[in-house]
Amino acid sequence: MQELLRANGVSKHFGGVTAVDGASLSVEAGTITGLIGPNGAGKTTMFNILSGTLRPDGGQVTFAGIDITGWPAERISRTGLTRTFQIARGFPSLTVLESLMLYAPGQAGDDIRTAIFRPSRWREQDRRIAARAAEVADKLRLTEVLDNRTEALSGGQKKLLEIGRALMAEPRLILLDEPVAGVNPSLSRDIADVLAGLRDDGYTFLVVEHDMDTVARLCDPVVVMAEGRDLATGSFKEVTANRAVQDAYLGHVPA
Amino acid sequence: MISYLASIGVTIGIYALLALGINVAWGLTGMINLGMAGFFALGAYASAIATTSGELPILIGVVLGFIFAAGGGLLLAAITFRLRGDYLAIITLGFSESVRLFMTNEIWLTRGPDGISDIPGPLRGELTPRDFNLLYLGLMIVVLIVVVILLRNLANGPYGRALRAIRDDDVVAAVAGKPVGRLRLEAFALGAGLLGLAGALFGHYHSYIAPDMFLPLITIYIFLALTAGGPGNMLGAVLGAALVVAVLEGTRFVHDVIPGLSIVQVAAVREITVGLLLILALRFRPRGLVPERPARSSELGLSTPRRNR
Repeated sequence: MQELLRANGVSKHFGGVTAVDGASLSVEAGTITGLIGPNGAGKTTMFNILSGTLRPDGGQVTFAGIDITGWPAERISRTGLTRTFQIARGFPSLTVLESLMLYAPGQAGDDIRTAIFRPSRWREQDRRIAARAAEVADKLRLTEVLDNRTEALSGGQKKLLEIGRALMAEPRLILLDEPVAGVNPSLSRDIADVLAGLRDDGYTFLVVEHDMDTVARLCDPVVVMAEGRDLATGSFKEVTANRAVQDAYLGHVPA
Repeated sequence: MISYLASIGVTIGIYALLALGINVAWGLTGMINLGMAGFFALGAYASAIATTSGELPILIGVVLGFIFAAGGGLLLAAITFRLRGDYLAIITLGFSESVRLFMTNEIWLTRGPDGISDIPGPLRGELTPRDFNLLYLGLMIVVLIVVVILLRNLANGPYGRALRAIRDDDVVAAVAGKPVGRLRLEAFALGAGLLGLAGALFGHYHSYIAPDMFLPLITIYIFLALTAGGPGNMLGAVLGAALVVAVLEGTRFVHDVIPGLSIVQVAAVREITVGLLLILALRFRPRGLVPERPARSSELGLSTPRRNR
């Protein structure tokens, strides 16, 4: 397996608080790697560092063999690492199709002169982008709402669209921040199925998630963080059997 | 009568250009521009000064009107780069009043409150007033058709999609890889340029402009036109402008229908009608008579989505 993302001894302080304290993790291509841990373990900070929203104070992040430590977010996304947000955000008045098409990189019509005076130059490209958006929508079971405004979608569909928009950016790795938070159990199973299908298509994910059923079903390997460090790595069964992990979640119980 | 109708047609055209300018900045991109009257004046004065004192051809003057207003828009948008919503609205309103006060006081350039007269119009000397009105109406329609076609290219493609995304959530639009700052500047400047174009055509039609023609009230009329017509839709902007001019002009004849009204009361009826129209539009057609139409999948070569069962 080819290693796609590697974080080595990453740390981040906020004033006197150490949010991440020398954490390391690795994501191999073609996996859905889980990142779990109790509240305050530093998962979100880690996500923000990996996606470029925050600069780390120490450590090193490499993506596809390139050192991306401290790069700004837009440069990291252009390199092929993109993320979603925990609370689904988006464009209420745009349709699902338009929201997806927006994310396609390298659109000729983003230039104002081309947009106004040379429509033939972007029309054909737009059709190709639309065809790709339709494929993505199909994978995410959004085909029948393709022409609906985003504001008319259900909460679960908005979550799926969030993933779909990230896919349209042609990423090599997607960081998913709680993809099933606040979604009912049957729909969260659907979302997990969709993600598993995408993994089989060759996409790679790093997922922060609190819903253990979903993590158990979907993620392999699983990285457990606690108090700013990586505590254990392995299959879901292995890490949940780990005594240190149980202590981190439940608090240390003296024998 | 034909001459009168043609002059109403020209006024509709000018209002329509104004509504289109506001539509680019506000309708598509969500940037409130209450400085509309200022850009309208900028275009009118630029073209009037260029073709009177400057003795340049009318066409050059009109182009200058567009360029000056667009440049002013670019400058104002750059200065207010970090302002959104109410704050942007206040600054643009202040800009509009500053332009008007400048035009009133810088007499060496603008002849102050006396205004600029004898602004040339195409073939004005050679034609009867009626034929001039008809010719100008024809030119106006051509300009309007060209502008609407070009703006529809803008609005219906990737560029318009990005502008509407910025209107909805500019942070996520940046995450989508869109250069939000550049797009906002361009949209505001293009919108301002269209306001200037309207101003230039206004001056050449009436042959006279003065600072008190560019009061903020006209901004309200144009926002009404766009709200009623359909923000985000170019044809809606034109339709809304026609509607507002029809109300403004139609209320002239209120006196014939309801005798016994004084002139002041007729003017009040006009304002009441305009206000009522806005309330009705917002109540019954919140997205306008011709609402914004997102791109449909079928237009992009996809088969119509259907449940596959």
